[in-house]
Amino acid sequence: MLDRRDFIKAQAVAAAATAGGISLPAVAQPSMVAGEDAQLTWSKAPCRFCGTGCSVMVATKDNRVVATHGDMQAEVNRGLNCVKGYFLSKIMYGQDRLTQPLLRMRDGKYHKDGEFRPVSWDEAFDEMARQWKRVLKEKGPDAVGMFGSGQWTIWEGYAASKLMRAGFRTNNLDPNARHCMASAAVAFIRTFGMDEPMGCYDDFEHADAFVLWGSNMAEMHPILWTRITDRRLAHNHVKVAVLSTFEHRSFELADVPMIFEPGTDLAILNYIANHIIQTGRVDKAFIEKHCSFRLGQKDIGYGLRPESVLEVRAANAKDPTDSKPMSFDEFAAFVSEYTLEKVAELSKVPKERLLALAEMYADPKIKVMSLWTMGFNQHVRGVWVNHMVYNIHLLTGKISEPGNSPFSLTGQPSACGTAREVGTFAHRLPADMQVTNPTHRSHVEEGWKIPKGLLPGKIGYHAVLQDRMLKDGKLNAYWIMVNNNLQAAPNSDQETYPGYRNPENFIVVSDAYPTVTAAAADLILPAAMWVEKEGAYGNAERRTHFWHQLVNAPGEARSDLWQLMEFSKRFTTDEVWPKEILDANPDFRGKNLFDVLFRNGNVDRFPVSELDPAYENRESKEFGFYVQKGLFEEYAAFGRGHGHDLAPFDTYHEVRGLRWPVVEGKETKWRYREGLDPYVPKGEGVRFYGNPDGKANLFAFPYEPPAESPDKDFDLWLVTGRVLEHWHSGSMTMRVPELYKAMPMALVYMHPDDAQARGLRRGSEVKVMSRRGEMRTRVETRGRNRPPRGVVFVPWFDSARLINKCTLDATDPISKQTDFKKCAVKIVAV
Amino acid sequence: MPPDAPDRPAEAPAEWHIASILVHLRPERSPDVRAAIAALGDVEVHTEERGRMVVTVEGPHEGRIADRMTAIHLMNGVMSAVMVFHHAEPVAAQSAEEVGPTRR
Amino acid sequence: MRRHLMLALAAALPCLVPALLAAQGTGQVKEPFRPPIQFTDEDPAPPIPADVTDDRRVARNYPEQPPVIPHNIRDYQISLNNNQCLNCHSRQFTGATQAPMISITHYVDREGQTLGAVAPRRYFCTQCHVPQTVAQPIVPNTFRDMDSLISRPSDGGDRR
Repeated sequence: MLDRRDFIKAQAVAAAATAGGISLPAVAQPSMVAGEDAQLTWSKAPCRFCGTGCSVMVATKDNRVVATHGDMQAEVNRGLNCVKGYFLSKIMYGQDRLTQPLLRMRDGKYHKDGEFRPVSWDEAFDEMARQWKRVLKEKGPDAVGMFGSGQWTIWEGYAASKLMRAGFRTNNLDPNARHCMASAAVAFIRTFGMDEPMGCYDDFEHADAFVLWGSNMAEMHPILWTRITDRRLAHNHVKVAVLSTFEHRSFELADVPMIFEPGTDLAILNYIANHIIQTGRVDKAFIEKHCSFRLGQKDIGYGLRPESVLEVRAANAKDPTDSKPMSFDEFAAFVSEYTLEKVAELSKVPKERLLALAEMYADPKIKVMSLWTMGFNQHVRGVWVNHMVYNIHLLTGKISEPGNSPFSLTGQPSACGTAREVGTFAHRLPADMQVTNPTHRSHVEEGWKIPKGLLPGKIGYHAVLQDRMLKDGKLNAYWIMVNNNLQAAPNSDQETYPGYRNPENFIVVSDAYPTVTAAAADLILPAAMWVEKEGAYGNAERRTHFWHQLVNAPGEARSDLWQLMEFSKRFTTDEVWPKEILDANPDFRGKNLFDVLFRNGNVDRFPVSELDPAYENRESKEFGFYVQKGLFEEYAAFGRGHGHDLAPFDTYHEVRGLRWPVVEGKETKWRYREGLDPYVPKGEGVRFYGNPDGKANLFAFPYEPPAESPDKDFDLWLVTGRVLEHWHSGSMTMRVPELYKAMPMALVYMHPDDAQARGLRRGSEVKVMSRRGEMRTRVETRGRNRPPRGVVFVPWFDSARLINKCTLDATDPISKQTDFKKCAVKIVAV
Repeated sequence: MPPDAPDRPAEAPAEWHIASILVHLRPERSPDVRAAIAALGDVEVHTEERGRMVVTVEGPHEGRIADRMTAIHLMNGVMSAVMVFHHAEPVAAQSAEEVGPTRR
Repeated sequence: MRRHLMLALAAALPCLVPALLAAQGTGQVKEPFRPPIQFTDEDPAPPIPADVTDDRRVARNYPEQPPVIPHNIRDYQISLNNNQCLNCHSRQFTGATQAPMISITHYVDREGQTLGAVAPRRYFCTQCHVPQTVAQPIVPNTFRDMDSLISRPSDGGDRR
């Protein structure tokens, strides 16, 4: 029998050797009597959860993950994890892992109202292909769609994009990242002509001030919060400002805490711009050389259904993106009405705190980092508010250098890598190209080796529109992968669930677990997850990070990549492409989609002999070529030489990720600044080269109120969000007993006086009710979140208590991202 | 927890602590460093490669581990000593197995 | 070889087979399959579960796992000026409180230097250490630790 002490010692040695990048001695030391039995295989992988992109070391034995710990070699986290990361070892082992395809059946065949029965992959794909072909024949490509995610690996998202756009000829492909950071992505493109932050996490060690705009990093980005904590506690001059609509854990570190009225962040930002201008602290040389000013469209509506009264009433709901040039003086006059007095009254933030905040930006000696996620992005004016934070960084020239950094954080592990860089949005193509641009489409057609004119130029249905179209019966064949949209989508009782159960529709859900979304589907496909497949993610600081397949998926579960590629085999070009295209390109007639998309000379370029023999790779062995490498290299070609350069595939298996653009083997930490970014020509100092004129755009926008505010019937603001212990809808973390027990249910956090006024106290059972739906839970008045009077907070991780039955499907009219932070509810005792 | 929590035993149970330390050293000084480490007691060198060495320390409390780590850190030829792994458990939790030479 | 013997032993003495393996059944989905939670379910909300406060240390799943907190931490203050956890768990107080001392890995900073006090990046304890309630998970977890894999037959990762 093994000596436990020696076994633990072997563990200790292995951990240190791995951290130091040293190989373990081939011959076991005398003390390591455990020998072969105690040998664990340690490999690197990025964490499965948020957009921080921590690296973890994963120990496997006998095809099972047995331990994980923070990767000492990773710059992002240097050995640390948050509590979710430390429990990664258990996320794949929930007892109800899906291991077989399940089809709703009655009397031995598919029936919309049947019960789930196990079927083979062949039967599953046969039924699915039958439904797809029926819909394509009856209604055409606009009636098929797919909803993916920023949790797809890079090659999965890329394969999905090829299958949908080139295969089925539709742009009805959107990621759940639409709910997460579409506003940030759109504002990046409109401001800089290129997506994603100019800075990186190294800014944390250089900044003198940190401003959290509606972000609760202590719970949502804990490892980045450790870097801010480190900086704040070790350097007395460093200050932290936290803005939110309720008090939360990040306030524990706040020097300048601020609770503001929901939606008034717009006014606060315009006040800061005004303060910078009024006190003469504009960096005039910088804006002269590097900036343009534009007046944006106002009164743009709220992204609701067009017949909604709010849309009819809005002057510019049909044309929300319009803008026209303005001068700096006009800009200054525009923001001049946002005085300290006026904004303090509107936002309810004390004047001295607003002033302290404004000085963090205005004072040229302070290097300031602005950080935001859902507070900004899930906002009916999300694009505006993103623009406004760039405005104040650009006015002062505090950008693109260490410590001066407007930094958009992300919520999903590959929101940047897959949703944005690969381009799985309804309007995007790889490397920031757009579906509406004929030159871009033609460039992609060349890269994919498909006929000219094949790619559709019409923007597809975005996330919320997909739900509306499903409900209205216009989108009928729908594939949901690696996300739990029925739990995540807004106004789900009225706008999401009806579409899934619409008898005209066939809904397919690929997932590792039976989520509420899977439960509402017609066909459930069991998915491999995380280290059950070879993968790549891109984090919020432009870092691309790879991992190997470390264990096999259970039963018949297969990766999304395998599912996408295998399903493509069920179609020929004759069935899915128009006659004109085939007549003009007779070589493509009668071809199998798999051959056209994946055996095209690019994707099948690398033989399986290039696989690392130490690791399994199920997809490659089955398809007969190194699929991940082929897809990655075809994809990477679009960005190389265009400011999106990725390193060669094999490099990424060696390193803890690299920040693009990777030019001549070197990653880029700060973009747009000479000496730091190889794309900036000598002598220019700064160049925002995403835009043809090399300048960044500042936009002037006013404050406008939210879509729905409390009134006498629904008298409280509802804010939704996450908690530390659970990631997003909890499908993984709620299956880890320690995390479940730490945070077992979604409570409604409210002010004790608000509770008392309704005859409630901590623990009272209540209904949270809006005009759209309701959910039952218990009152928490003493928890970690402490809303002011008039505001309640409910997290959305709990599938047994679905707060999104209450939320409003209002979106930013430009980015189409939902505002999950502002709607009106009432709380009623049960 | 208040200091006088009644449900705590008067004495903590004997514990066994183990930690692994990653030592960065000048490779040419390796023989001296190894000799100095061997002289410390409760310490074992496991592997060394390109100026990096893996050492484990065992003892009855954290103090032993901290002492050894500090001692290694201060040795001539050592650039840094970083703890990678630390584990502690009550001795009672271990099955009645052979007691190793470094166990107390 | 040893593994085969163990399998035989496990077969002969069913009581030794880990409960979780048995709980996994044959791998065939029960027909028809009914997901654990449906969108349309409208169950009453259970009472807020009580915190576990028995002060008993819980075994870790693997050595690198941060231990869970076996006592109540409600209203514990962790702020710029005060960290109530460290009042018992920091080195200088553990003699009096008999609370476990925080791991000395917590004295190492981002650059790998060992400090004389807790590294600032480790300051907010609850980012890694969480209390537990008495709530029982809806779905059991079949994770097996390394000891059980060494001492008992493995299913080779095939959880069917």
